[in-house]
Amino acid sequence: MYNYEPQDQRIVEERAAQFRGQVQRRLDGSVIENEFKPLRLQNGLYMQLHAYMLRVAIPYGLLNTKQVRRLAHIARKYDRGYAHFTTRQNIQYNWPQLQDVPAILDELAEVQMHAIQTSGNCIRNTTSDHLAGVAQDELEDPRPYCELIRQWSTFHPEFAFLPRKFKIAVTGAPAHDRAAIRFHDIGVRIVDNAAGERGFEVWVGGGLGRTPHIAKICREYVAYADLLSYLEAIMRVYNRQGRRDNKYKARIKILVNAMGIEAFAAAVDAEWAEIKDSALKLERSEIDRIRVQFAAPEYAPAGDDNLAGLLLGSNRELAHFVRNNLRPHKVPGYTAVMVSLKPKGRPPGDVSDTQLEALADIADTFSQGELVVTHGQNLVLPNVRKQDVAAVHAKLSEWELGTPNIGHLTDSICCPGLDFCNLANARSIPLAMEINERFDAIDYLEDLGPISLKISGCINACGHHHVGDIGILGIDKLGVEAYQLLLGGSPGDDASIGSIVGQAFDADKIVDAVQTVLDVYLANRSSADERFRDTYRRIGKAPFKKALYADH
Amino acid sequence: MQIIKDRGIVQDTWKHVEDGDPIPAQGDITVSLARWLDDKATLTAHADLIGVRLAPEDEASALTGDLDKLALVAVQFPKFTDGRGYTTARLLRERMGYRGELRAIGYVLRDQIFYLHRVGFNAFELAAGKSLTDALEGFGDFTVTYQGANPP
Amino acid sequence: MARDKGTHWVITANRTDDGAPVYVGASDAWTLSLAESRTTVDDDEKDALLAAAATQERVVCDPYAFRVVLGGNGTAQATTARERIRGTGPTTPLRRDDAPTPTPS
Repeated sequence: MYNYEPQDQRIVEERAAQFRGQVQRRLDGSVIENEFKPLRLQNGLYMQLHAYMLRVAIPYGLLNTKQVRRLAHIARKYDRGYAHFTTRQNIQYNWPQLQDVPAILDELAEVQMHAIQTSGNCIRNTTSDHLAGVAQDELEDPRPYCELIRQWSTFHPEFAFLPRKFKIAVTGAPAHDRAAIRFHDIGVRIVDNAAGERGFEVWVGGGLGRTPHIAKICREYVAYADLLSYLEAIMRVYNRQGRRDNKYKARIKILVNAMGIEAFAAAVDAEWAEIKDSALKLERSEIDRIRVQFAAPEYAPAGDDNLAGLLLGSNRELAHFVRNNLRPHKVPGYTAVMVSLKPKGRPPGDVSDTQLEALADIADTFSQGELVVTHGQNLVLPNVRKQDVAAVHAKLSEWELGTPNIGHLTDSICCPGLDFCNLANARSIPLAMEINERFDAIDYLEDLGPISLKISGCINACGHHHVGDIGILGIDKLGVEAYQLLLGGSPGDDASIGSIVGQAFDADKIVDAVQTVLDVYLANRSSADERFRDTYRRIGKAPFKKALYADH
Repeated sequence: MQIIKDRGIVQDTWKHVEDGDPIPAQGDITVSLARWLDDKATLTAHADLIGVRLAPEDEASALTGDLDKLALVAVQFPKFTDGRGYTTARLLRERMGYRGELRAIGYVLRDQIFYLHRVGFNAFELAAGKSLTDALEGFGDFTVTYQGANPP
Repeated sequence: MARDKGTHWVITANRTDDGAPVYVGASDAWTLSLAESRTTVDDDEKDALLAAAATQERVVCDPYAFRVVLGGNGTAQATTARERIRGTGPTTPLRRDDAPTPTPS
């Protein structure tokens, strides 16, 4: 992973010192709350329903174990002993005190971490494929380019006060996007063009929220050297022309839609022509300086694995874990192990300080000291020898981290919702937990096959409800929580936006509604191998609607 | 009134003349972009220095060809969260080669000084009631940056 | 914002130090308990309390008024899910209770 050079280290330390000064001036009154708010947001500090919330950046989801242990320590010392992983590969603390935040930032800086630009109308964390660097289907590791984008966007003086937040994602697996690039303000795909040259395909104007949009291709091919200048051109057009009159119409997707992609791309090209050969042009040496930091680790030779045997063995939990939680690795004998943070009885995506310590130990012993956060609020041990899978599973299971439900119904994406979030209309976590409780039979889950359930507590869609096979949106019906059901969304290469089935369901009816949806799927699928998404696309919304509203 | 200019506190010598108000016979004055475009000949004949104020929605390119006549370009930040002026400043400095005084006016706070300086502002009228001595500290917020050196 | 069906106004804010929801209580002191909050039907009084709260930035952030109903003993009760949860805390488990540290197998 990227190791800070002295200048990187100085930047995060000076940022922590800057924020310490800003907090002091807030408390002594020389800065009013309205002036302080954008400053604290640019350090990831929100005011939520019960407390402040601090969002710490995890660039492209990658952590080393020293960082994991520090995150555990911060949870213990400054918070209530736990933290939450987000849908942008970051981590959040729900109970920090304002006057402790400068100390937290200092402690993060010591392990090359920060909370820079994790909120505010600026360029946020650049996210990526959680299997970057190890995926079998990867064309090229996207992480060096994520790091280049991170450095270019960090404290970019021109783009600190954009019309609205800005999110970039990069995938290096053009055939299988796991980073949802089509639903980002800028999405980047590493591709080989028609002439066989490697470079980037740049998409723009995707997003969820109030008005979901699938991104459009802005430029089919951008050479390595031109990546940052091209992105800068997009940002400049957006900064000048994005709407500032209405918070709900201020994202770049609105501008791209209003102008049309051709006109937008032309405006970007005109700007790009002016800066293409400026200092933003990436020298080969700079790209290599970053790339070398992501070089593959030493892979100790892996012996014979016994995964086939484990699948049939007497340890059924392990068998299910092998079936559901492993992902193909480019190095023979190795696998990427998905760690589910969606056990029964716990809020999805949460982790305690002791669980983090255990994960650090497991990562040190079995996964080369690294851990990755997925945008689905799970974790990955990216470099595990197949022969160690049983031992890893045993260790994970000691800490409630071995649930074999990855990619299945109970592996839901779920925002904090009205239990925590100032923006929410309804609670989301209890719903996810109730669904985990009701549908916890592993054989049933496996029979259902891959299904993505995504739950948002409000229209801001932090739970990605627009792009789930089954999406749930919490709404406020005259002060009472209610839930809309959506079907047929997908965040990947086959991007689609889910469709609302009909009237919202009361809180005590929504889980039954999910059951009905599953029943319709099972009754109509062409075979046990036809996954939910394909059945839905084949039969459409009508059979589901009919079953759900039969009494109405 | 005092302002920050070239990293020091100085007495402001300029008067911002509102649209509709008469141009004084003497003294350094700024006018809005609209007034400048409307009346260049008269304004260029002014006895003392002239400058133009750019609102957030005004494009830097509107001053193409005029920069050698202007001793001051002031970019307005009616809300400090409106970041359009940062692009305006960069374009003036880096694309159009403007070398005169580039001043940030409006709701300008100590906490924006560092970024404003980085995009090319060398003068700052601070928001009412804000300490200039305090604001000077803002230049020192960072000793290193990712995006290359400050503009000249 | 939820449309509440309340009859009385309450002033609330978040504590600057830790973000905890607080309410203007008796003798204008801030209280953590909605039940102890001061209620009023008078719009002018509501506005005056709000204005006073806005001057206390060292203590509280972003004050606003919302409506409640009075319970049997005359104390304020929230009428929306949001203010109910805000008043009582998350309805979800927080940190998991650790079992005794497992011994390595």
